[in-house]
Amino acid sequence: MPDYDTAAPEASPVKILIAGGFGVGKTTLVEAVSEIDPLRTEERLTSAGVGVDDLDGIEGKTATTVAMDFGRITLTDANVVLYLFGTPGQERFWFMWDDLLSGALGAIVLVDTRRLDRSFPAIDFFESRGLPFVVGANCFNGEQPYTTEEIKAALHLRDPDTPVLLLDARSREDVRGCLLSLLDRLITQARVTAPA
Amino acid sequence: MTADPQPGRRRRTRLYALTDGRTAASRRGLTMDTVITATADADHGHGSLPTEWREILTMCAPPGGRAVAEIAARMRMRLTPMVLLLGELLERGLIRHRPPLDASETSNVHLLMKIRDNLARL
Repeated sequence: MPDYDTAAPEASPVKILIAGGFGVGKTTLVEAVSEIDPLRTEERLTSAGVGVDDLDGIEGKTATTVAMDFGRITLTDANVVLYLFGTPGQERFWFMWDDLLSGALGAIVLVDTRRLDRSFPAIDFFESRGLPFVVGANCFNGEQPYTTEEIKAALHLRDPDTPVLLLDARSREDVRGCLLSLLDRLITQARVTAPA
Repeated sequence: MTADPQPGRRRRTRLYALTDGRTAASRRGLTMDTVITATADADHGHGSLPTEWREILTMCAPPGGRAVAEIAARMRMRLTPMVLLLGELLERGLIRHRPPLDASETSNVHLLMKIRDNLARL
């Protein structure tokens, strides 16, 4: 029997991934919009699969500890709690981690145009898994020598409509703009898939 | 093969001690973005529960609750041991869990627009 509570239904969790190479500003971006100070969670992944017990002291197995910084935004009117998870830098382990992608709305791929190659693994991964994403080019020291068109061309994005935005990861307004751009993309996609 | 005692390392509470010996059976359905809320039952007999459990129940007080990843981070535990521990609490009826929205819900135009509008007003 369902229970019909008179109280407002509890907010449902949803997540958006924040990906990009080491030092590109993922945690800074999360901090800019999160209602809590970013937290760090860790997971131990091994070549034998995920979810095994602690292997401290056992040699000869490929194991690594991956860490993610994350924050949250409670969206009362939408009745959801949005979690922003900064993905761990070791992209080669992502495929072993089903939890990471499952249920994600989409992603922001943060790029540093001085080290563009570091964002390729994240872009390849999301493109191959079909997770919608937008690209945010972090402007370090407030500067960005390239235009969004130049960045888009250099990234060889499979979908030419993928938005590329210039942003300062410290700016709440810029980060919000990036999230809105991702939501616009998701809304467009949802309309195409299931016309009202 | 030598088993070095590693004297410099802080001793950690072993997983089986926290989870009452149970392992994989409990972890079904608890992902890092699942929200955990303490149940009303958790209000009674708190005193007899292990300290870690009590801390978690306090942290996840209704109506808000906390995501698994957040509980793990605040308790300074890795995700997998935390999921096992939460599985134990779930089996004892001390917590409820709310899974993240699935693909059919997250592709709902109306929900996405609500999220967008709410974000725009932040």
